[in-house]
Amino acid sequence: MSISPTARDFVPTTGFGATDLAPVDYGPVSADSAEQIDQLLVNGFPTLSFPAELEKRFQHDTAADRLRVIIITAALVVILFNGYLLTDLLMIPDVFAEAVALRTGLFTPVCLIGLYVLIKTPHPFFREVLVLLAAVLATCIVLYLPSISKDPLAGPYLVGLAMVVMFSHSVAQMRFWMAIALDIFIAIGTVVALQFIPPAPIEVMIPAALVMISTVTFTLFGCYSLERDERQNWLLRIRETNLLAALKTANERLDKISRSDLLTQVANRRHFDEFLTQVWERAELDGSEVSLIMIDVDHFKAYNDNYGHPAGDECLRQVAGTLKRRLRRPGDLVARFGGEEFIAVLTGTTLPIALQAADRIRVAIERLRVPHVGSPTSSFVTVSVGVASMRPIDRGASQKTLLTKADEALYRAKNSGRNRVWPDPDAGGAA
Amino acid sequence: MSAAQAPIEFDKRRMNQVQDLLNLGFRWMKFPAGLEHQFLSQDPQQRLRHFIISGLISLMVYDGFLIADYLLIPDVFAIAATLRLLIFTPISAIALLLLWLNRDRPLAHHPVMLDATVLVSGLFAAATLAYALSITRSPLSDFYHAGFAVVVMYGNLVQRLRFWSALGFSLAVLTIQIVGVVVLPNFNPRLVWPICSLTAATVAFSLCANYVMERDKRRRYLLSERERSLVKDLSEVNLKLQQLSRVDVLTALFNRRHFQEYLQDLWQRAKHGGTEVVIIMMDVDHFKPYNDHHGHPAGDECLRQVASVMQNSLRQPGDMVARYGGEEFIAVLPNTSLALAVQAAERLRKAVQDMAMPHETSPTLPVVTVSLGVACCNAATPGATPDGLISKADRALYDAKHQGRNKVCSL
Repeated sequence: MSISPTARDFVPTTGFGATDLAPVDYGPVSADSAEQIDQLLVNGFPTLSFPAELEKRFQHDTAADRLRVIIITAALVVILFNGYLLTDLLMIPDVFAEAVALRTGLFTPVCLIGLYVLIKTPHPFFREVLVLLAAVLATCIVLYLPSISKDPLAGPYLVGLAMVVMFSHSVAQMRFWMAIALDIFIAIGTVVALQFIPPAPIEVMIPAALVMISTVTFTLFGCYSLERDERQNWLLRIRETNLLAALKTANERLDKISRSDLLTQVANRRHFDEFLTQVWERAELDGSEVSLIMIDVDHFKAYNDNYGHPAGDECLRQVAGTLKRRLRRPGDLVARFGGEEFIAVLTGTTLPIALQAADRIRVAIERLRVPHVGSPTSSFVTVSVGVASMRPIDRGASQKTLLTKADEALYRAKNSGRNRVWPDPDAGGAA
Repeated sequence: MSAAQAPIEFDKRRMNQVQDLLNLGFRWMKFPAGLEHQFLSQDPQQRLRHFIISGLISLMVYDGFLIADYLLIPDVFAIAATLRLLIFTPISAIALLLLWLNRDRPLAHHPVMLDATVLVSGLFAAATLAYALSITRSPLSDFYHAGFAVVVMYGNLVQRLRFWSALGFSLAVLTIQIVGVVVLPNFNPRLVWPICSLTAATVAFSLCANYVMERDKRRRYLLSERERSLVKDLSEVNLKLQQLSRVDVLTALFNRRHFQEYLQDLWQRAKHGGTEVVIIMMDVDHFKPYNDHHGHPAGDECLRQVASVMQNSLRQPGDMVARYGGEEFIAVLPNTSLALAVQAAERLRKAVQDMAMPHETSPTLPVVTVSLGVACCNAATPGATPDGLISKADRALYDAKHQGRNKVCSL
């Protein structure tokens, strides 16, 4: 096994790191299962079984493929088992009528009925039991026919059991433990059948037994490898799903972090610029209006000096939180513009509507009632707000002018006493 | 730039290839050339070992057929025994020995070489059986032909020949058998079909399993390739996340990026107010020898301790401490004079020394010590920048180091 990092290396670590960056989360399976998967892949699973929860999931995930294999092999087995009548005709011609009755009259319909039942009620264990029962029925027929035959070739005919073993173990990919059960049944059945079969020369029967024993050993080995490989690949797939989920979460988080302001958790300046450009381009196409709301915390320096920077940070967080709660339409975006300045974009919004939204924001901040003793404006934290709107298709409109106008409006709001909303002075008095 | 980009491009192409193969399959049991080569040359030593062990077992199985020779074709037993014990066995044993002795040479575990060896020996084994059967007069010899089925099963399921080799091998053995059965005079006509169909079915069934096994093996290879690249991507993203987050995972201090953002903010305010800003830079003395001597876990612990001392001694409102790099720490103190900051730095230096953390390889003192550089400037001074202030503190730190370490210097 390689010593590359495993899925477990990405299980969240607890501790200080968990501030605003909760660690990468597990997607599809629990961390417990992920650890089990790593262990199974490293240490192997010699008994071909997983811990209960994983086993259930493995059976569920592989059910469709397994059913397909069984349907194909069932069709094949019906053809091959009837085709074997030719060998019956050549080696034990005296019981050919019985052979036809059993192979065509009994095995074929039973097999088809079994298949129908299987498709109707797919349950993993039940499914494998049905496969085993089909193989047991085939074995019984192959043992019964030479037992009632008087032909001297009836003894060597038993080697035909090798076909049953080979087919069920390798083509039908019987589950290993079911295969073991079948082989035990065949061994006991053969010993019983030999009591009835016309005696064949020991010189023939010993090599025949050797052929049977090597067939069973080799195909059991193959059967084991097949199931182990299937299980191993499934584990790898699951681990991959986990990795993919972890990668997706990490990428999303990375995306989010690179777009947001770490202190206040609203968008950062860079993301704001990108967003505004997008909004602007869309509005250019449909001729709608874009509004900007610029918000500044009043007397923030005094607040900082009075209460200290940690409190100042907390104040900014509260203001940002209020902005985010107030502006939550899909086309709105709140961003931190600089120190104590915030900005919001409202798409498809006219100036009067934006002004209403701005005033609701101003009131909401005032109602937070965050004490601010150093403010000459109010005894609580307040904001001044400037609002500007523009239709990108209008002549002379640009993102830059819109920003300038919003800034000018904010300047007016500050100059006329703070804790108020002011519209773009060029827009023609909607104050 | 382009030289560094090339492997990334290559990786991407390779990954796309892997992706397509996993999604669309590889019907002809073959990957595109480069990938096929990598797939075939993975774990060469392990493959050679598997080859030699299974070769030895095959040889035993082959010689075990002497029992069947003795029972079914007693008249040519001497010839069969000669072929098995005196010709095939020694040749194979020597070949296996040669491979083992040359196990460090690439040719010894070259996939084509191993496959060819299996093919040649398998066919040779089948040929000796065919020869013995062609010269025997034993009436029981007809049954012996079923032995070919065992040979096929062994090659396809136990040796796990690669599919195309397995196909060639199986067809060759089947041909030898069918030709033998048809050409041999006196072959019991009632057994022609049963025996030929037994071998043919064995060929079909075991090839089917062989195909599935190789397909799964190839899939497993592709999956682990894809997993490796996923793990790499994930580590990169996680690293980036860590850099972007505000906190240094090791010391729990803020990280450099966040420090810089904070400093920018603070600088703007200080500029408005025309106040002083102080930067303290701190470096653990002789940290590399400490790490080398006490080990990385101890080194990490040392950094954590030093970090917490620094954090605890600078806690005026507005102060911020961060990890700047490996064993370097930085702090910004607003509204402070140089004299006060130097006093604070001196207390910090002494506090670290007083921790009395053993540092056996330090030429300065037998305990962990730090050097500090302090710089101060008024943010409103024309031309003053945060970066300028940091490099000033860095120069002061440099002075402290040159004056013998475990010192505070200021500019």
